[in-house]
Amino acid sequence: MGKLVDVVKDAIQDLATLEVATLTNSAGVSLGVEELSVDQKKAKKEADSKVVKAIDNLVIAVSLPESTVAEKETKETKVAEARKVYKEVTRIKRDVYDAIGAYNPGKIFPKIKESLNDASVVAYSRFELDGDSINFISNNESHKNLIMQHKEFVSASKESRKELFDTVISSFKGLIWDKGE
Amino acid sequence: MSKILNTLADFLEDMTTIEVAVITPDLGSETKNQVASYSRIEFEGDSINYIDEKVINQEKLLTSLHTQLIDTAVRSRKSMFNMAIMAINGKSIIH
Repeated sequence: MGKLVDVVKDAIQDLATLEVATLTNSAGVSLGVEELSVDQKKAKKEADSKVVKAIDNLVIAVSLPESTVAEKETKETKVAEARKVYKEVTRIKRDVYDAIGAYNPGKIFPKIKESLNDASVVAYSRFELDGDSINFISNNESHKNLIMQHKEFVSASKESRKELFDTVISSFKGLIWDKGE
Repeated sequence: MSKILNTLADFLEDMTTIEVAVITPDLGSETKNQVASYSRIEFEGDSINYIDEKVINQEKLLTSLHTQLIDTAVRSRKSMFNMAIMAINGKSIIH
């Protein structure tokens, strides 16, 4: 029971406070591998060219004439075939990219989150519901522009919190109105 | 059962959290892409933001793009919430 109370307490505190942190990393965050082996480069090139070829074929199929019934049928068949090939080569390309650890759009966010462990804090702001705030700002001269950008992030976060409160109020309003009707 | 709960928790977290990233290709390497900026805004407004030092000092356009993307994402989430509220309140979204 005590654990549940703590969880609720933490959740309320989390909801009532707004925390914004801005980080940077002089080394940068790169996605993908630094260097590929000859075989990996070859596999990647093959996968890329297959996708390009499949797109070309799809464009050709879509551009086929369809003035007669026979032409229309032929076009439909060709388009369906081209689409099938395109899907297949795209899947292969994804697998190749996955295997060589190269850029994969589906894994971007987890990879970025991992990289943030090495980033350093430039600015941090914490606003409580009653208006109290704590702010940390780096005194590094090269971080001047980042600190300016931190202001934008704080505004966006405040807007986001306002939106949450508006949502809660609107839903309560809706319930009360419905009861009254 | 716990796997289902974890999946559900992940899904809810994903639905309520905005993640925005601007990625630029790093010239000189065909497979290396650089993260120019990244923001993660949670449901209650807490946010973590990352900006590459080089980007903030040299590529003002990318920084401005990132701000605009956040703005769009926040508005998009707001629309989603509004639709959810209307649905909960039993009001028709399409008239």
